[in-house]
Amino acid sequence: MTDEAFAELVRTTSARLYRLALRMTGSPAEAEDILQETYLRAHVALADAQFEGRAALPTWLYRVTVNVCLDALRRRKRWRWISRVLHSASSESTARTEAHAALAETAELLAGLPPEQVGALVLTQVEGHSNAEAAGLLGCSEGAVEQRLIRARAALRRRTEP
Amino acid sequence: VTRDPLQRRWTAYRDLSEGVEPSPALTERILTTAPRRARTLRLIRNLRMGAGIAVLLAGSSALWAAVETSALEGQFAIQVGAWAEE
Repeated sequence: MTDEAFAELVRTTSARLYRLALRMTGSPAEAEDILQETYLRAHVALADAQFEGRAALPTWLYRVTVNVCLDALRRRKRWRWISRVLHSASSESTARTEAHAALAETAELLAGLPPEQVGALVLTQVEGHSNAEAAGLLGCSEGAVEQRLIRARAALRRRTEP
Repeated sequence: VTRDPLQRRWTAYRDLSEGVEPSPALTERILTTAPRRARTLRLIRNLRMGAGIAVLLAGSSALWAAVETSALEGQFAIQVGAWAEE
C-alpha cells in the first residue's frame, strides 16, 4: 500500500473509528491508542494481503477497531486499580471538554461491565447496529448478543436506580 | 415508550460524542508511525521465522545423528551377540 493510499484511508475513516473507540472506552487517551493500534494492524494486514476484500475496507477496519477495543477493555480490567489512580492524578488534562466529562460519566458505568457486554451495548444502543450486525462484529451468535444486553441492562439498572 | 429505561442515557452518550474527531496531531502521528512500526514488525516476524527454521533444521539433524548412532550401536550389539553365540 502506498503512503498516499494509506493517508487517504486514514483521512476518510479515522473520525468514525475514533468515535467508536471513544464510546467503547470513554477515554480520549485510550481511544487515541486504539486508533493507532488499529491502523498499525491495518497496515500490516494490507501489506501481507490478508485483507481479502470480502468486506468493504471501512467495514473491515471497523471490525478491527471493535477487536482492539475489546482487547483494551480486557487489559484495563486487569489494571483497573492502577488506571483509577492515574485517572485521578491526571483528570485535569484528560477531561478537556464537557463532552469528554459526560462521556466519562457514562463510561464509568460501563467500566463495571464485562468487555463483551460493553461491546454489545455500545454497538447496538449507541452505534445503532442491529443485534445481528453486532453479532457479526463481535464474532458471536445473535442469541449471545441478546443475552449480553439483558445482563448488561440488569446490571446497569441495579447501579443507577436508587 | 421505550423498552430500555437507559435509552435516554445512550442517546445523550451518542450525541455528545457525535462531533468528536481525532486531533490533527494524532492523524499525523498515525501517518508517520504506523508504516514504520509495520515494517519493524514484519522484520521481527521474518527474523523469528528464520530463527525457527534454523532451530528446526538443527533439531532434525541432531535427531538424525542420534538415530544413526543408535542404529550403529544396535548393529554392533547384534554382531557381538552373534560372536558370543559362535
